[in-house]
Amino acid sequence: SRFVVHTHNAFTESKKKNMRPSRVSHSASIGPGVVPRGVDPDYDAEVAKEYEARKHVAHHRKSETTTFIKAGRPFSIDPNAPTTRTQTPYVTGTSVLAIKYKDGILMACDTLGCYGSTKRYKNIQRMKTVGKHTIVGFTGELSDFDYISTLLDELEMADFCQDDECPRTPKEIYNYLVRVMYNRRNKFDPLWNSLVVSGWDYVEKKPFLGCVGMIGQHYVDDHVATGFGNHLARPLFRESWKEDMTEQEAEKLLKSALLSCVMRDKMMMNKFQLSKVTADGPGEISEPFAIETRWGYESYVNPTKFAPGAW
Amino acid sequence: MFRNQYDQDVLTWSPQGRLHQIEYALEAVKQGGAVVGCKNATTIVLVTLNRELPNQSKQQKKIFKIDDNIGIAVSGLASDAVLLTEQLRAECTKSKFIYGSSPPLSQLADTISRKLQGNTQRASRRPYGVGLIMAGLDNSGTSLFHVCPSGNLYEYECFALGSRSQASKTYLEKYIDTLKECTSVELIKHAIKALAEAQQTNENISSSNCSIAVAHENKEFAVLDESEASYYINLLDETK
Repeated sequence: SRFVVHTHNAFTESKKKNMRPSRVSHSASIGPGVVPRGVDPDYDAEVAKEYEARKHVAHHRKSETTTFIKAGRPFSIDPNAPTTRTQTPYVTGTSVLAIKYKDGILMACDTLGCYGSTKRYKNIQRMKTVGKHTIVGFTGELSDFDYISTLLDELEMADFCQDDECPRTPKEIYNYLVRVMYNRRNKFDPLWNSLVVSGWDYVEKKPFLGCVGMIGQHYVDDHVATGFGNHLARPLFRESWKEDMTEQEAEKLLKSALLSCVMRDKMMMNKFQLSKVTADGPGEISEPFAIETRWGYESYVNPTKFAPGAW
Repeated sequence: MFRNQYDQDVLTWSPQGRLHQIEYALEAVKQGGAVVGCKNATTIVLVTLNRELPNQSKQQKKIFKIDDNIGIAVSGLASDAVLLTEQLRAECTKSKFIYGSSPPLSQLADTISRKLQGNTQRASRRPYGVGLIMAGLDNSGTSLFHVCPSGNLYEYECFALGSRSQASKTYLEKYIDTLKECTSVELIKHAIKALAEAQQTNENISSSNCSIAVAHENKEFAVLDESEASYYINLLDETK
């Protein structure tokens, strides 16, 4: 099970030696992983022996004498093992692509939350508006972005309460997220996300586009892509992006990059949302749409034709 | 008003609903040397009347730069002023670290006035004995605030603090409409003239008893050095 912490101590080693199957409880009252008394007499005998050995030891020294947990083994986590933090993401979003154009920023991503390789949640919005001028998109763990959304909501609330004519600019939100991500990295408990911060800077009167990673690495650029898009879409942007594109040109470039990504990334689905931030209004996120993909290539008809040893 | 049984500490209300300790703190501000602050759409000016000190001593410092475009002029207990300056600068540094930019002036003024209010509601602390004129430029333009030892915050177009500052306020009220439209140089001249109103009759403004600080869209907040200050003060003589 994914929640077992694999450490090598006397308990795990003795388990292997004795080749005992794991004890499972089916008692609804106690819960999973807990063995009630009377079910397994051998286990009960072991526990009784442990208890006798520790009975006369002072409370604070008990952890030094014991190597396994007594009756009522809790939910498969060894309390003697060191505390660990986020090791891997569970529900993830894939690439986010964003480019600057003449009047603002266009950002695109799909609406899929993958559970490992399974395309499990097909309707999640991976972009979020912050205030009137900013949109943040994410790649990576969904629950960590949920937490980041809470922080961004708090920023928005603080702006509202301050009630002055200068709400947080996109650059300030970007800097704030850099500090959040870097501080979490320093605690060895990262927020497993790559974030794209796009917005209209109402002070400098220009679009702003930046990217923040899970270890606090950050940069600002005219076009940005996270996740797989970094490898698939950015070369296309580097080739075709130019200053002061119109919205139509920008959308065309983004959609061609999306096509490139969706046909190669196995954890992407053909259901996208496009978002736009300009000087005029609040950021808008479009309704989901699909793009035309082509699968009728000759090589796909008999893919193993030239593969040696294939059947 | 003075010497009654309800003024022992800041935690005691008088039957008239007043906190006398806070009012006494405001008196301390009124004892300090005069300071004047003015602004228009693009510029802010702070001028202060410094106490004449013996030759060995450097001139009294009543203007403090808080951030690139923000500064304060103080009147009252100088040591309290230094503490507040440190706190203001720390807030600006914190904002620069987290958000990459200085806080808006209204936010800074809010934060510091909350700190001052805290001192009016604690058994272990006394109110600060210093009033600030905080002025600066941020994304929403120019702003000027008066921060009180009571923790009150007032926003002004122009303001004066300290001893005999009422005369300065009268001058500023007379010229308030011109201040909005005038050039930066005119603004500085008006500020100095307003400060001159707060002086005793036989005294004159000179670079040895007056500090001038200016912040402009294209120029960081800075206290003018002696030659620059003399230049502006001499401009007043010309118009006489």
